[in-house]
Amino acid sequence: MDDRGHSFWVVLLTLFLALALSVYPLPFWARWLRPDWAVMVICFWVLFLPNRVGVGWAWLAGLLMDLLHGSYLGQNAFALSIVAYFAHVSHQRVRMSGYRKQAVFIFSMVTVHILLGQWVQNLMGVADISLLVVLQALTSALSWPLLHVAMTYLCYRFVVS
Amino acid sequence: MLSVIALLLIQAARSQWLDKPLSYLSSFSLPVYKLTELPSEMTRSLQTFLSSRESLREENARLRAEALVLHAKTQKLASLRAENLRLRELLNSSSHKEESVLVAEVVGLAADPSQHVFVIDKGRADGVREGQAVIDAEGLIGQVIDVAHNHSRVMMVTDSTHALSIQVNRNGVRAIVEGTGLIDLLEISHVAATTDVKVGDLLISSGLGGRFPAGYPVARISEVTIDPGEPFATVRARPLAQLDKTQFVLLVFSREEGQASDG
Repeated sequence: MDDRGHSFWVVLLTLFLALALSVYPLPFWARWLRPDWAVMVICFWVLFLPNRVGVGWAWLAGLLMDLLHGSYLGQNAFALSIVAYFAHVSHQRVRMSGYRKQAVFIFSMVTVHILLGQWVQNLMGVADISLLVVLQALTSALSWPLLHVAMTYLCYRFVVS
Repeated sequence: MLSVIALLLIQAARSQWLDKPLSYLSSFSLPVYKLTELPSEMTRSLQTFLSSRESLREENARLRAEALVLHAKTQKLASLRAENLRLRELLNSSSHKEESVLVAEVVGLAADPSQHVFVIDKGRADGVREGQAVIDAEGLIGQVIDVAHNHSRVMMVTDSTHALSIQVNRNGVRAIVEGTGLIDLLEISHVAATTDVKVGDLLISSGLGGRFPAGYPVARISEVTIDPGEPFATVRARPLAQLDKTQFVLLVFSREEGQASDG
């Protein structure tokens, strides 16, 4: 029971950090390079703690993200829950593969997140799509090993299971 | 299931009835934005702490000189304003609205890189309302697009979905200036090739449309290309406001509308 409490707080804290990083002020040109921390953290938890973290967490995190970013309420909740669903369905396969394959997985998940977000924006009548968003998916994939190491360390340190 | 709820929420957010509770709910984002400001704030305070006495003295002297110049200019301004008022009375035309400003701090940039939107730490509680003009010391920055309880979002003139009506200060030619999605570039659309615009012309807000108060400098024309095959000239301009560097901005209040702290 005790370590369950632990894992709850660790998940909460990492998700909060991911949200804070998603609005961390960057210079204008560097904003295209910001990794999609929310998707990466949610994917990590869903892949490695599938019985604790699922679509519900992703949905809540997405809702907070919407409030924080001022995007349409539900936009990120929708996109992140779809991402979490994909991650959950394939967690047994992806968990076993190496960094390279996992990075490819993250790349596609971030792309799904961005495309769904833009789909919603298009529905609402805001159309401004730039191919530069691919950069975001790319930096996310590249920084995946880093995040993986850090989060695994956290898991060991706080006995999250 | 949850994604269906999310989609329903999107639909609900489209109608206005959620606006009020949402503006309170999203109040939590101001502390988050402030938190992300902390590292840069700390380096800044460290810099001031480490900066030498000599450089501080130098800066002090420079600021004193600047203040002196500005004071001298405002002296003249008072008499000019009075003269302007008298002349307007002579012409029987309505006088300009008095405007006052409120200082706000920029606490964050929009997460979506395709948007030129930033977050300020003043919201509905401070009397901010949607559509309000935002300026800095140099010129017009943009307008408030979204007001929450304790913070609001400002769209810059360079956002690719932004357009405003301007006037060339030199001769009063009116045009529409549009954002391009690039931070240092504005485009002026539908300028006939024969229109009198030159590189270096100052563009000021015209006040048409009622959203922006008239007379604030917006941009300076940087390029005019006339292609004989095209009906319109390509006119580009560079915004005057320090869009990507400002830390403090001014919210403009016209006199009738709402409160203001300092004029």
